[in-house]
Amino acid sequence: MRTDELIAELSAGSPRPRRCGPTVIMLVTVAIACLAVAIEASLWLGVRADLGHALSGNLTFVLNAVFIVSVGAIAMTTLRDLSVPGRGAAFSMMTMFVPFSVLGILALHEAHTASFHDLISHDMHASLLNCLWQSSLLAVPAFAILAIGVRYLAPTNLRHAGFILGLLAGAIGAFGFCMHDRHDSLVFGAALYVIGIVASAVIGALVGPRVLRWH
Amino acid sequence: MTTTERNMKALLVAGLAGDSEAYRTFLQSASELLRRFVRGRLARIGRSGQDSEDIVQEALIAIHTKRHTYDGETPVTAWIHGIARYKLIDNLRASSVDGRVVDPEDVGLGVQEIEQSEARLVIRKLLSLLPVALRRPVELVKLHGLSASEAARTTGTSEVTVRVNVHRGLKVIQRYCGVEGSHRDANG
Repeated sequence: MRTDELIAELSAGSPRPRRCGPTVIMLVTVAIACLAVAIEASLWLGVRADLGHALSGNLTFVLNAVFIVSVGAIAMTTLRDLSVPGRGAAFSMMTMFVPFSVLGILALHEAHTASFHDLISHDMHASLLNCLWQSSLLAVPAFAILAIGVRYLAPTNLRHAGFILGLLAGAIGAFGFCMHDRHDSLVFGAALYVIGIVASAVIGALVGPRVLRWH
Repeated sequence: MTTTERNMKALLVAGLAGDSEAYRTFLQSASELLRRFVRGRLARIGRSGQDSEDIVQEALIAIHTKRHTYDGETPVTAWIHGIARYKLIDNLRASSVDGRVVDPEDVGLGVQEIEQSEARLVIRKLLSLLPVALRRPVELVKLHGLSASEAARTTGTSEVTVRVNVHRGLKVIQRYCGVEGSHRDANG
C-alpha cells in the first residue's frame, strides 16, 4: 500500500480519539489497581481493627502511609509522563529518593529508642519475611492492571516505564498491606516497604520491555 | 511543504476534534517528518533506506492508533519522533537475524542523542517562526554563544538593539510554546 493511500484510509471518517486523555486513563487505572488490592487485602489478610484510630492518632502509621502515598504519587505522575511519547518527566529521578530518604532518617531516629530494641528482639525477624511476601503478592494484581493501562497508552522507553510501573505497583501493594499490618514501627516500615517497593521496581525493569511492548 | 510545530499542533487538535481534512493534512505533514527522521537514522547506522517507507507507514498507523495519548502539552514533533523512534527500534529488533534484542544505544539511538536531536528540530522550527530581525540575534547569542557586542558587529546594529531583539525573540518563542511569565536570562 502506498503511504498516500494509507493516510487517506486513516483519515477517513471521524478521527476523534475513542477514549480519554493519558492523565484520566492513568488515574482510572491506578484507581482500579488500588481497589483491586484493597479488596484482595481485606479478603485475604483482613483490615486491622483499629484502622480508624490509627489514621487519626497513630503517628507511625500515618508516616508510613504518607511515605507509601508519596512514592505512589511521584511514580504515577512519572509513569503518565513516560506513557506519552516525547513528553518530558515532571519529576527527576532524584525526586523519587526524597520519600525514601525521609523515611530512612526517621527510621534511624527511631532505631535509637528503646522501643526499637524491644521490637527487634521479639518478632521483627520472624515476621519481616512473612510480611514481605504478603506485601509483594498484593502488588501482583496492581502490576497486571497497571501494565494493561500503560500498554493502552504509548510508553517508548519500556525498561524505564517498567521500573516506574513496578515502583507504583509495589507502593499500591504496600498500601494494601499497611491497612492490615499492626507493626507500628518506622524501622519495620522502612525495611518492609522499601524492600518490597524496590524489589517490585527491579522486577518491573526486567520484564518491562516484554510486558509493555505495544504494536 | 514546511510545517511548523504550531501548524502541526493546530492540524492535530482540529483533527482530534473531528475535522477529517485537517487530520489528513496532519498525517501528510507527519509522514514527511517521519521520512526524514527514519532515513536519517537508517543512514546513520549503515542500513539501506529500502525499508524506510514500511517504517514510516508503521509509525503513521501507530500515530493514528495512539492519537489519544497526545495531551495537547507535549510538542507535536517530539510526540511524533517519540513514536517514530519506538517503531524504528521495534523494526530493527524484528529484522535482526539472530533475534537479539536491539539496544537503542547500539544503533546510535541513545536517549540523550535523540532528545538533543529532537530539541534541535524543535528549536529550528521555533526559530523559523521568528521574523529575521529577531531570529538572527537569537541565533547568534543563544545558539552560537556570541556576546551582545560581537553579535552587534556581525549584524551591523547596536548592542542595545541586539539585547532588545534577543529579549523579544525569546518572548515570542515562549508565547509559541505556551510558556507564561518572564524568563530569567533574556539578554544573554
